[in-house]
Amino acid sequence: MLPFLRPSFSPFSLSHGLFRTLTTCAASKLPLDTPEAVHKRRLLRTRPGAILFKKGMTSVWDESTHQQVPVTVLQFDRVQVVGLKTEKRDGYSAVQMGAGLRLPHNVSRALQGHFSANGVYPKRYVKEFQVKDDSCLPKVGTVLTPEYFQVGQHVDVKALTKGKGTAGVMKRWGLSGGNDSHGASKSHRSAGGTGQAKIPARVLPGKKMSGHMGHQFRTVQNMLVWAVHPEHDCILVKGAVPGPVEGVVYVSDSIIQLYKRPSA
Amino acid sequence: MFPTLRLCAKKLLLGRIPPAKFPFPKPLDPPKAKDVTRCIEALHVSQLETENKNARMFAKNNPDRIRPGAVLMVRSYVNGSKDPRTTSFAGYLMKIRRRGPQTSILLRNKILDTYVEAGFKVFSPSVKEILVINQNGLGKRPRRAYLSYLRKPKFHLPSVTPMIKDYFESIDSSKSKTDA
Repeated sequence: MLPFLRPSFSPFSLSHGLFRTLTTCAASKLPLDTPEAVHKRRLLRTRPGAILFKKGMTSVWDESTHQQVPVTVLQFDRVQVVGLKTEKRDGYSAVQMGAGLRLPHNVSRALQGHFSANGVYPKRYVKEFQVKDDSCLPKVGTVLTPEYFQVGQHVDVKALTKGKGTAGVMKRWGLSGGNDSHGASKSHRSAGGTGQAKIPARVLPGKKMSGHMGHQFRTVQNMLVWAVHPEHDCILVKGAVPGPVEGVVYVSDSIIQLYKRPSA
Repeated sequence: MFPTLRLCAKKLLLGRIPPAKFPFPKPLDPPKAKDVTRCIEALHVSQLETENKNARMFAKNNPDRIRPGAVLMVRSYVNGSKDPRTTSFAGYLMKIRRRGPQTSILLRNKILDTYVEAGFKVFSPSVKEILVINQNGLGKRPRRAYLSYLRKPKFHLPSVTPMIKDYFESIDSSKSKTDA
């Protein structure tokens, strides 16, 4: 008979997430499933993000590794706190950030009233960034400058990817297509077979087929802020960022850093 | 992206745009740089030009710049910033590819009956120094910017080693003269 193996509850055998949950709940003496307990263990950022514009890419030299580093230039354009969401009024804490410029007569009366009430000239792009609680909320009208981010910090960059229109199966899903020669008849870039036979006698949902590709929000996590240039209102991040040049990009503090176990 | 407020103010005066229904503060100033990427690249290049001594050697606006056909010797670090060891390569300058911080040169030499071409990024931190062995190693001024014809057997050039030997000997002799 096999011995019954009981799970040991040492911190080294639990996953980090479960360990964090149990310790925070133990510390607060709350049960696990109340809304307050759930909110407490949610990984929310303590600072709002910024709305930037992707302006292009260049490369710089890294002195320590002697390597060429590709960097993306992200520019600040009138980034300002345009509104707040509070726990008392809205049930959650968030910062409504705005960027760019929109003329008042090009904005609906409702939005005009909203911007005017918050003492801000109408913005072209507006987005909410959720934060941990009301204590993390900045004042309405706060202007964000490039010094908001530090050199060497990691950020998550979210943007709408470039649209590719209707993309074929090879581009969209990376299928191999068919033979270019050897008698292949009109099937050089097709998917080939789409299923089995009499069972299941249908094409299963989720079959990779051609269709719309791109123009979707994607987040690149943990990008390194390479440089901060306040005189040009921009920051440089290492690597590539989704979306076209002149596209809007939402940059917030890296959530992976929140996951990291504090070094003992 | 940057609508002109002046044009809108003009249109407001002419009555073509209705006045704002709500009071708004004065709008913030747009970012000063229109083409930021170019500004950043220019900033980077100017930084490199002040810090890097190889910069002026290939600058187009320098009348004493190195031209194709010169014989250069490049000493580059082998192993990152911590290791001071270098390796050398010398050869005839075939091409200068000007791309700002990514400017590169192509050198060609004959090593033991084998022709070898090596490229070096001039502004790379791994390039320690570029020595000019000869301003013009071809005799005649080449009438090309890219000397690809040197690859043809008719235009094959001898190894650069004797020139390097002479160069270092002349340096030593001038040193001994100054010492004496």
